[in-house]
Amino acid sequence: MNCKKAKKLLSAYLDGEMNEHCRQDISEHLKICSDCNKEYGILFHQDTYLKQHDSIEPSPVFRQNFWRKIRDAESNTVKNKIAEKILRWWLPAPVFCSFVIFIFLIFSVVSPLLYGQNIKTSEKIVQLVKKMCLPSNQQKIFSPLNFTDFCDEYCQILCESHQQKSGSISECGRCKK
Amino acid sequence: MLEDDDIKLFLEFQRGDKQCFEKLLDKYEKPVINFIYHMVGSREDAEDLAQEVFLRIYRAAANYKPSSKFSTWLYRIAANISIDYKRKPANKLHAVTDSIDKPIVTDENEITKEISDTSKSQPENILEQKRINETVRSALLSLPSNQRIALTLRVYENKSYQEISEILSCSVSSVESLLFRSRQNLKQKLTASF
Repeated sequence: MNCKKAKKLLSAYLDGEMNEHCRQDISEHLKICSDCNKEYGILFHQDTYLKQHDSIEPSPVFRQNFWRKIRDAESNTVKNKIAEKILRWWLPAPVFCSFVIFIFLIFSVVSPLLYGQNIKTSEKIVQLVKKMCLPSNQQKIFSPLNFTDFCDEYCQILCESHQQKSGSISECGRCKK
Repeated sequence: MLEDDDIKLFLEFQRGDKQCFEKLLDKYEKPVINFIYHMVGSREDAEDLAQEVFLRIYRAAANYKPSSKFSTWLYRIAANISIDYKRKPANKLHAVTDSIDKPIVTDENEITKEISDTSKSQPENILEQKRINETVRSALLSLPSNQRIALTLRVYENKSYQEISEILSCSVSSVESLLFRSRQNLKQKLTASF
């Protein structure tokens, strides 16, 4: 065992983290080498000093503050769960209904053009849609009653158009014409 | 693994027994605070970070499955939190400004003396002791993170090389090397200071 190797192993020797054979080699070397023995002494006292000093006690309010943080975190968790419930279950319903009405509106405006209605009918439908959807109007289509009125008026326009185009013997149950 | 008493306590806590968590706090509150204190150098920050450690442990209870010793898991979290804290730019230049005799402010009153000096009470000795403590703390804080963690766990927490290797997720020979270098670095810094 030379000094270079011994000095590298002094840290593990100090910690008792080496096999018996190696430990005995180091012990024998320390008995005969004053330089390594001095180095070992420095490391030993360094460790001893570290252990004895610079330790702190927890403050008296540490535990109290910790449980307060737990309570705050738990109450936030409850609030987050309620918010999640609202976002997941309640909010999508009106959003979905609005989406359905929106699709219906688009269809209402586009279908007369798709199904070859005359220009007068198409204009009447466009006017009806504008009336129900413009922000300046009092009546908004997104209320159930106004939506029903919209459907009635729309059917009436289509009915009149068909009456003029094809005519009918029987009375229309909806618009009575 | 289930022979670990701390794991048993934590599993009891998982089942709803909050007293078991209090017992774990009784056992690890001071060691964890001191471990982090030796990592970051500030008492207030050490307590804040220690609370964060225990908060994480508390929250992890629901999904806890023991895969290592409880203390290994606990100190791993504490080490990671300390390293993350030191990585933040505002904390990198954190100087050792805490004094051992700095008053601890509580809700009711102040505790002005934290460590009783059993040596001679002469002012010069007290001042000298303070200077030595601050020098040692400063030297410890100047070590690279991994060396500091390894040395703190070995010297203050008396962890084995195997336990330190599990906490740091490295090999035992790496731990041996870290401790050797940390002690050499510390020796150089303290020799230069004294």
